[in-house]
Amino acid sequence: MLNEKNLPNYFWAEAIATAMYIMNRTPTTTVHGMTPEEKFIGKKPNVSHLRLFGCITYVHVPDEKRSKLDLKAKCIIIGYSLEQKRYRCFNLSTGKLQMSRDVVFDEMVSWYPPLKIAEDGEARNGDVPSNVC
Amino acid sequence: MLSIQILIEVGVEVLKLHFEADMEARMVEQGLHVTFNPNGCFVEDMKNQGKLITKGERNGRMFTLDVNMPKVNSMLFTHGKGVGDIGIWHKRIGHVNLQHLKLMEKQNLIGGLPKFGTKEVMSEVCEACQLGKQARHPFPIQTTHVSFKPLEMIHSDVWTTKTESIGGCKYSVSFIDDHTRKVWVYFMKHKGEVFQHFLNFKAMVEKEKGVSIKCLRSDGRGEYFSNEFSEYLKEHVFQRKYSCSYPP
Repeated sequence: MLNEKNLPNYFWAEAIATAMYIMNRTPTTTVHGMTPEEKFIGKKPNVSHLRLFGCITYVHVPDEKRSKLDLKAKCIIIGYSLEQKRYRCFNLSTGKLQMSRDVVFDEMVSWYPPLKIAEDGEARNGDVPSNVC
Repeated sequence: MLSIQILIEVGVEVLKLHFEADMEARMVEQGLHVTFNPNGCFVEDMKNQGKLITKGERNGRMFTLDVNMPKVNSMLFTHGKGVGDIGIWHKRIGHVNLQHLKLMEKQNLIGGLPKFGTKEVMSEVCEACQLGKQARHPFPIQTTHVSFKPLEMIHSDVWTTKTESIGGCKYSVSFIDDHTRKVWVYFMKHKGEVFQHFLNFKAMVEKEKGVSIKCLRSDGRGEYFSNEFSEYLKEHVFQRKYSCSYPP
């Protein structure tokens, strides 16, 4: 999942949490005829809100929180909120996590450039923004 | 100097005694009866109506037995049940495995092998093979344990990475319900937080399902065996299981 959008490794926790979220909604060999989530909760889960992990997300910033000339936020999606019906979006410019449901996705694009294969054959991530916490 | 010589002599005597006892034991194992009397030593085949196989001369307090007779030789100097013993052939052919050995015999790939039964096994465990070739037991394809209700058994494991996450975490602990296979993951900065996360998890799922966790299954690592964790599990009468180290 990290590799798909060339995310750096420090997003591993988000990747694991998302993997857990998805695994609970996919069938396993031991539970027949339903997903673990349905077996536990008793309700069929819906996956229509799933998006590509790490893709670009444009998060709406309410008018009260910005002046007329300020931009809306450009983030990447790093998971789904378990408590609310919201996406967890990470703003790489500010290094902050934003929970929002007013979002537009661009699933085909990645924030990070493709991996550069160094001469020694080791794959390295492209330039990482310096202001990420 | 003298004492050393005595020691050597005693040692040789002990060796001799041991060898003689061993020979006699082997002969008895082969179904041979050995008698010593003033006229000499007699080896009789008990399987064949006590037929005399060989006779040894008495020379003072020593009996000499001619073991160069082909029949006696083959019976005495092959270990175990005799020439057909699969264990000795296993060792002779470079500790080959038994299936191959039986296959070679069955398909007549090499000559000179005795007949082996299809169910014949080695009479004793081959120590050299255990030391040199022991492999891991295969993992069972089907699980023997089946839980019938949610929270009957919870599997747990801690995962470690060197890379810090954006929140500064380096560890994650997972809880999997054996019945539904639903997964919960918590992230930690220190491994000691496992206990607190377990309490939170337990409170949450037990409230949700109305039943209590019956068994916690984990590996045998220290984070599951801290004092407070062990005390808590003891008090709340949980069954605790932990898996073998180094599973596949």
